[in-house]
Amino acid sequence: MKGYLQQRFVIAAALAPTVLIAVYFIWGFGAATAYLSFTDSGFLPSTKLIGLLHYQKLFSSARWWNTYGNMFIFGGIYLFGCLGIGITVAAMLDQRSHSAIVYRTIYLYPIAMSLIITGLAWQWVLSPTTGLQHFVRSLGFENFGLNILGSSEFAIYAVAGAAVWHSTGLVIVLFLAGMKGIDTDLWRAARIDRIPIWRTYTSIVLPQLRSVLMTAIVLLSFNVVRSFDIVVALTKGGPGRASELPALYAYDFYFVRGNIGRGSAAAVIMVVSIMVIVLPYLLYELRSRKQ
Amino acid sequence: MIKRYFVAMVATAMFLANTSYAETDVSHNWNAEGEAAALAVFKATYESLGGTWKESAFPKTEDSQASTKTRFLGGNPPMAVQGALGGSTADFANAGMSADLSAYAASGNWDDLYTSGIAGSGKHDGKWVSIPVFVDTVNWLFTNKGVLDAAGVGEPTTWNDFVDSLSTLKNAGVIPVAIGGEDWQETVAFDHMILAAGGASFYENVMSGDLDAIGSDAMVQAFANFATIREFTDEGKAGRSWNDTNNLVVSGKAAYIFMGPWATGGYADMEEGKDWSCRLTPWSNTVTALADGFHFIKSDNSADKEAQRLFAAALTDLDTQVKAAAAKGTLPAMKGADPAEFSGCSTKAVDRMNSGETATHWNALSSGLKSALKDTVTAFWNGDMSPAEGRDALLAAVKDI
Repeated sequence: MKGYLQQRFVIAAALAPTVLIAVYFIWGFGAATAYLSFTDSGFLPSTKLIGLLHYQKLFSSARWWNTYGNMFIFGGIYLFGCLGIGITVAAMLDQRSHSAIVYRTIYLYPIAMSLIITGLAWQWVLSPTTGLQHFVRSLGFENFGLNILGSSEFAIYAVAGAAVWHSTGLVIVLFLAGMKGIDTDLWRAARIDRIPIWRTYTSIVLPQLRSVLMTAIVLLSFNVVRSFDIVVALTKGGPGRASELPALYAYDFYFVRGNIGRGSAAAVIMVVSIMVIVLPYLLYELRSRKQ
Repeated sequence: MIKRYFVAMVATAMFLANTSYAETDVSHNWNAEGEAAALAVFKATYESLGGTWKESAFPKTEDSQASTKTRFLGGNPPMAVQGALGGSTADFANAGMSADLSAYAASGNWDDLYTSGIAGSGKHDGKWVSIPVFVDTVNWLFTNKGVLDAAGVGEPTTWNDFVDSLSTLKNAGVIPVAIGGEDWQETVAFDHMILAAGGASFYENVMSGDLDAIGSDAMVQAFANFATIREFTDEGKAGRSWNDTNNLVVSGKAAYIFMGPWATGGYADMEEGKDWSCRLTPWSNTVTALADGFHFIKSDNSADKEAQRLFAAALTDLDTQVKAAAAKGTLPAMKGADPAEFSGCSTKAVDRMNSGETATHWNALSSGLKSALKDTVTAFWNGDMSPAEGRDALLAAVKDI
């Protein structure tokens, strides 16, 4: 009994710093940011409360609404792109299990790269004067045009596409692992009933992988919130501010413009928006799993 | 087992508590060739006075200043941070971060060393808090003369000649105007458009936030000029840095670039006047200028204070400033420099300052006005606003500060 208590204490003591650090650095700093968004913090943080002024200015700024809209374009393409392509490829790999290891390695490789390298690589590919457009034109197709990065309308799609390329591998690996865990008897039964393979996946396999889906959605949605480096490397938020995401907007106000209050307000709206979408889903999933 | 764990924890805590000490370093973003050479001149004088040189280098002003703010809040600031003086001098002073340099200023007679305009950029409420070391002239037009010759174009001296030359150059298969994809690069080019539309006093009025000047027809003309040169840029400009953009002119792929004097270093292997040229806006007898220097950061630490005393003495030494300015390709901020010390582009800047009109460059403005200008310029340049809509957007942005 004494040994058991001592063991428990050691475990608790060993974990305590991690828990304290997580609470302090995540929730503590989060609360501090929320507080600063209600103060007149400018060049340096201040504690003088001024109410909702920063939010009013934020909501009356055309630049902010463009940036905020970009988060949903980027987030939508990123989430559905990664999940759609990831699940499809995972199912295909699941069907050819002997070569799966090779393909899994290939598809997972991009995630080993940092986002800034991903952005830089795609910047080289998409740059009209040195990349793909230049290459195709040098083959003799003089009228070929591909200047996504220079287009105010489409630059954000280039950012989203590069991010999907980066993170799809993660979804593939998660789902492939889940699919390998499906009872083989289910497959036999489906084959006897002559159920098409795609139908087996959509109606039998995927419903059993809901917790995997939840894991993937949580991981991906936090990537949406913190997307910063990929935009910086790929477009610097441009042309103009056309492909700017909220993290970049917040950075600009924090560090370039010396307006910590407005930057904090942007950060709060950014996190709360993602929470509003993801939290109900998480609660629903967790509750239905308990039952 | 438990005991060992606590020993480790206490040791860690003691280590963390013990790391507060005076760093006495200088935070800067002078990394380009000429900038680094200028810094080395200040470093040499500082060391000859007995200082121990330490520096923290950053890629951009905002990174260097963000680090300074964070370290100030953490109680371990650098002794000084480099940056444009003027609006940001007030930013630092209002935030309570500035060291009071009055005592050094009095013993060194700084008020006699600078003209009152330049001295003002280093003072807040009459007290010296920052030290100007250079006067940067920003409105330069760099030209690759080889490219112009090949296209059969003479160097334009008026705005109309300049615009005429653009289509000839485009037909010759080169990029007429090189520009990058950052808001400040676009706004540096826009300076020349304002000067073409209204000259020095108009520029000065716009930069002081005068709503009549900003709402005028001349402002519409400035945006129209800007839209004209947009037709003569290349499609690779999105997201391009200034060095890559400058390199297009250096390598003969482009003819012109509007850029500050820091671009001069790129042409080191070519002969000025023959292969390339640097000229202040040819279509207006104006120089847009700002003071560049060091903000001194408040510290109670005696090591910091001693380092600051020595660094201030090094910065306000005329000979040092002249040598550093020559290395950077710019002008010293102090009075009394011998014109024979300058060469090439700097001589032209001195001539223009003596014979023409000087206006305050936008980078010396408060962050609010500066942001309104950069936001509107980049929105216009990358959007589909008409020139009148551009004027209205700028007016709205300035009113909203």
